[in-house]
Amino acid sequence: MSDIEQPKPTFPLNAWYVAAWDYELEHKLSPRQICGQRVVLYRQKDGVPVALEDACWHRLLPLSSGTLINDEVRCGYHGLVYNNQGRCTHMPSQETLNPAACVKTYPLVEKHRFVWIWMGEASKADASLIPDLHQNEHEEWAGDGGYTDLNCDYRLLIDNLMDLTHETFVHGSSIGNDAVAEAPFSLKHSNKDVKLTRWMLDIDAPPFFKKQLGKPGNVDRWQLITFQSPSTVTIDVGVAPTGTGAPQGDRSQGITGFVLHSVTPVTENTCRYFWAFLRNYNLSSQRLTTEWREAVRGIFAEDKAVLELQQLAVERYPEREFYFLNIDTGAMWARKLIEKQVDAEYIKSHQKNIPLRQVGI
Amino acid sequence: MHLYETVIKEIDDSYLDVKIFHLSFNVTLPPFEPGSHIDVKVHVGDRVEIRSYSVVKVLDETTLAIAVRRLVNSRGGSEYMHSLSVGNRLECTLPANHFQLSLQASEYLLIAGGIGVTPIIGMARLLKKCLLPFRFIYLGRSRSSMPFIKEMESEFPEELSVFADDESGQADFAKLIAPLHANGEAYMCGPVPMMEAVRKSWDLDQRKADRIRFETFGGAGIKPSESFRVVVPSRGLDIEVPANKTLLDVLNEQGAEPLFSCRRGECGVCLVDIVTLEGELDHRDVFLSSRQKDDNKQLCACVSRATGSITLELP
Repeated sequence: MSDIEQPKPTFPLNAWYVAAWDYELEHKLSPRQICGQRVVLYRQKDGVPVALEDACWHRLLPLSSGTLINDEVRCGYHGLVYNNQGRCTHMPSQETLNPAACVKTYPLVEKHRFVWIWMGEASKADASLIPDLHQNEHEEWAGDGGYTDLNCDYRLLIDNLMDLTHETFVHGSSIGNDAVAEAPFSLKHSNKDVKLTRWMLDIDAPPFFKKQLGKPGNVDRWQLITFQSPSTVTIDVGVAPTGTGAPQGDRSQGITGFVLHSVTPVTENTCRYFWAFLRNYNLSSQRLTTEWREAVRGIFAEDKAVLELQQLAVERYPEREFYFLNIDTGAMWARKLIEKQVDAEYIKSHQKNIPLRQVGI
Repeated sequence: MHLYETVIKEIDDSYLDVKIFHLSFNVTLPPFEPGSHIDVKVHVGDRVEIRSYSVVKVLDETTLAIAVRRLVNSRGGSEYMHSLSVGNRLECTLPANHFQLSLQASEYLLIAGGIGVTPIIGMARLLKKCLLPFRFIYLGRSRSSMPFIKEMESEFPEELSVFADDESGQADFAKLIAPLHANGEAYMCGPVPMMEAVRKSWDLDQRKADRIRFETFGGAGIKPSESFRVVVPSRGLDIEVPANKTLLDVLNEQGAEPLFSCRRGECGVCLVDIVTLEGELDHRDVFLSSRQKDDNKQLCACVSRATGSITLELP
């Protein structure tokens, strides 16, 4: 008899995660791993996205290696067919359908150019809980994004986004400078989100913003960060010439960017990072859209290098815990909200899962 | 299969021949899913067997409720369950679900027969909570024999229709199915003859087979169980299947090594060929189609029975 104590998961399942960008899903089978579970995604002919467990009920072959026939999935092994609700609609060589034959389905909602998936209890999948990322699809905003696969615990990325002092050192050639690391910030939190505000007044604009603004002289720079549990971070960023009233609310002389990040756990120590950069000026410039997107891709590649090194280090020192500094309070609040969500659904660790014995029946 | 030790905390026997057990686990239960069941270790004579019972509800983090109807002349699991008292221990699995509710249809029809109400109760509660439209048909011999009927009547005053044989007589399934939205789904659990009748009406209404979901634990048939004679010439067997054992059990005891899997009449693995039949078959499976059942050429040994005498060819 052995104790099977399940380690506490690092992510909640009762939450919306980005499964894919809108353009990624077509009328074909696309396998994904989300929160440790294998799913197969496809779009029906009417455009509605579907997510099924990626394992045939019969012999567990991944359904993603099968065929999409009209809007149903045929397993590539013995030809069992499943509909968009995961119910088997055809079985080989018999006149009835086995009543138990079905695979799990997952709620999906397409909103603001992302297809969101709910991996937990379907009855709790309330679409109004999806983070508001309307800038990603709005006439007053232009831009685009992509995704980056990271070999790290998704929470390391949340830590990274909740403390932008790293910009000074990781992104010194583009968006970082000494001002970011030195400016104080203010923090507010509720039970759903954490907001961090940092103003850097009368500073020399970092290279990327200097180029975008195209005006001489010092700037006032802002970073308004919002974390929405468990894995979405939006950052309202921008610069305006000093003295034009941006801190008081008049951003008309400056430029505003809206950076959105939503990270989806693939496993406990890998994740897919969905990001986009939207702007509220020069909306018709496709060149700018491409420039921003590629600049951001380059900047996030710098984060990827650091985060993956950090993950290796975490695994190298399993007994070590992080030190916390004042700059980490945003990340600490974010982790606290995540942990509350995990605890709310987790089989509590003080009650061990101890089977009496394993029997083969 | 992982078995966990549970303690019977409470037994409610306010319904005829039914006992509702509150089982306390030593682990925290996963979130309740309607349609889920637990497998329970039961003692039948000197044998240890496994029975599946639907989870009616989860009462708190470690306690759930199942309900068991005592069936005389059945396989013996229910008699064992009814012999237990508060404080007794039972070995059970955690809930698993083969009967999931989709939550994606525009309307639902729930049909429960007798003790088959157990997986349906949770479905009705969830649909109500999710504000999804449904009708709930509950059939039984008499009100006193229909477990949970009082709760169901008070919780689902609009949705519930009760058909007790001794009051309103037989339900007309065609009439009950007809108004269901074209995109609607039906979920049912009850005796196989009831489910066969519903499926026939469903097919006649030209509805898709994948929109009706059901579950059976290999319960009662058209006729009461009685003993019958089985001859297997190729193995030199001439045996009696007593009323409280299945054909599969007896073939097993005789060393005939029949293959089997689900033991609920679903998978068709234990199918045997009938050479001659002197008497009648009582098909209690859901594997064979109506046409195949009418042919009387094959039988699911795990649940189906006969009267009189049958001669079999084993694979």
